[in-house]
Amino acid sequence: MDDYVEYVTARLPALHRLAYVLSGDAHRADDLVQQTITTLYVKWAKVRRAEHLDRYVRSMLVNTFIDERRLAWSRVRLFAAPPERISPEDDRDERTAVRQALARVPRRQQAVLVLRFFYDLPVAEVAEILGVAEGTVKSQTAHGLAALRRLLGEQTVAVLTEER
Amino acid sequence: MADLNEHNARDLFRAGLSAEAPRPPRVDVAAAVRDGRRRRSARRAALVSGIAVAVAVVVAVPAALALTRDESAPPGQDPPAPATGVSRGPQPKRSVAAPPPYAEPPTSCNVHELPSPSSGGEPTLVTAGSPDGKVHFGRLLLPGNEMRVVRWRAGQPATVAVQGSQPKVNAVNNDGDAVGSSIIGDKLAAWLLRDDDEVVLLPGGDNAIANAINGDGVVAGTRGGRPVVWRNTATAPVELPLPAGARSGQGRTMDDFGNVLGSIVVGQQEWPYVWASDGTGRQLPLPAGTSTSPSGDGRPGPSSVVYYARAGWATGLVGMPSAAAKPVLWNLMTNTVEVLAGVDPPAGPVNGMGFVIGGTADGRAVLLAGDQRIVLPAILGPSKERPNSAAALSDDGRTIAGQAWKTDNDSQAVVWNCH
Repeated sequence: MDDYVEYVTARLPALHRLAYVLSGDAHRADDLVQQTITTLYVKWAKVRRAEHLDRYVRSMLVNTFIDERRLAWSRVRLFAAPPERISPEDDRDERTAVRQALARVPRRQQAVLVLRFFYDLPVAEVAEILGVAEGTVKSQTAHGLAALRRLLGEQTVAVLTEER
Repeated sequence: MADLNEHNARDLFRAGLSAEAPRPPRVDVAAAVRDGRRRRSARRAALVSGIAVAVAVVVAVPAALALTRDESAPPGQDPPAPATGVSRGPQPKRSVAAPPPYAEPPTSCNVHELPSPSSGGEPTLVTAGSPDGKVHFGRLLLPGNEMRVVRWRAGQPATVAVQGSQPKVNAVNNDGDAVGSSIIGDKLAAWLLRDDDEVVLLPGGDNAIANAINGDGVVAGTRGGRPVVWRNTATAPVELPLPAGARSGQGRTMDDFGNVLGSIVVGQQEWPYVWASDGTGRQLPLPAGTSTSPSGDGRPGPSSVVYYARAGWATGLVGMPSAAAKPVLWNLMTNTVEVLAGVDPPAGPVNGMGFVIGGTADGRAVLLAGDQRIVLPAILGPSKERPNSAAALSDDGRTIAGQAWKTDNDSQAVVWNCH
């Protein structure tokens, strides 16, 4: 089992990046990675020779994120006095706006959107990671995009999706 | 009309989200091992006695729920099984014996000579090793002060042709890609030595030393008194910014998070410093009571430098460049520092568990692992004049490589296997 430490040490940066994209918060990203690698330790004897070990571990992390207990402080930070619509004043605010809007759609939709559009993964792979049918990924994508469009408003969407 | 759809959503997510946290991760692999082991033994106890015990360490999962699964579950649902290679069938009967102690420090080590690529019996030594302990690099010292680079793969030696004189490999990653420097013409030159023996002179690498390569293949070093980073082998390196007042700096090491560590020089004083991957920099703390006043006699000092780093740990020395210097271990996650007892400055390489190797004043090589101090066995009785030295430490703390004396005038590259 010496290879656990080796594997985890090598994968930490990539796992933390994924956790940070999903959660948007460095502390929560730390917690997600810590939980994931702790569970991985427990399962290590069984999974270490898995052919798609990276994908499996990524899947553990994403599902931990989806099922994470909604911690009081994360609600406070993201949902305190939520604006009806985020109206950015500069580019930096637009970036914040995407993060805030994303935090207001259901967790599974957040994960679907991040995996499909930030990581550019095909529907089939996202379905495998989440352990759901491909049709579910497609419908969650549609629902998630519709929710974001509503939350962000036309102007922000236009600024962030224009040809660059 | 600005619509958000599957075609332009990627633009929105790339513009609106970032994968780079504003500070380095604070994840503790040793704690994961400790908690995971506790969780596993709690589950075993439950399986053996039939009594449900609380399995949760990180997040509360009802014990009864956990026991209905084939493994202790993460909060919520299990991820789908890996595609192949993992049995989901009946579980093998588990032993109640203690789990393998791989995160525990080893208790003893054996010393073995690494075979020489030459039959002439010339001295060899180790200069770098991969974190997985599988590849080591060193030097073969030929008559007339000639040197060759030696690579040991799983203990098997071969010389590798590198341009220039006095070549030295300073670091190697788990892909087997190594970096180092040699003197070509009348200048230092930095190069990357690929696993397949191809040597790539790093662009803009004149008068540069390549000191480190991380798991992503990013190379760090020092050029003309400035810390530099090569993100690829096609373009000149990027100079890392020095803080106001600093006149020079060194990039001595790098971790897999992309942090470059070394030192900055301000006036006559040198301070330990880290350049984070997001471009920010900070000075590392000094142990309480460290003198920070200039030496006063015109000599430089104090001088504190980071030499090695791995997974949130860093080692080096602090203090005056004299007998008063102290070997230290920094924890980058907590931004704390401790003086290491039982080893002479500077401290040697550190691994992902925070274990450190180093040497003692009477010529012994040692492994410091938490509260444990393991003296690495010598071939010839150690002495101050003929010190054994450890230069590479694997992440699991089981493979250490360096140099040991065989006779009064013959030293050889060795590996210590620990268990």
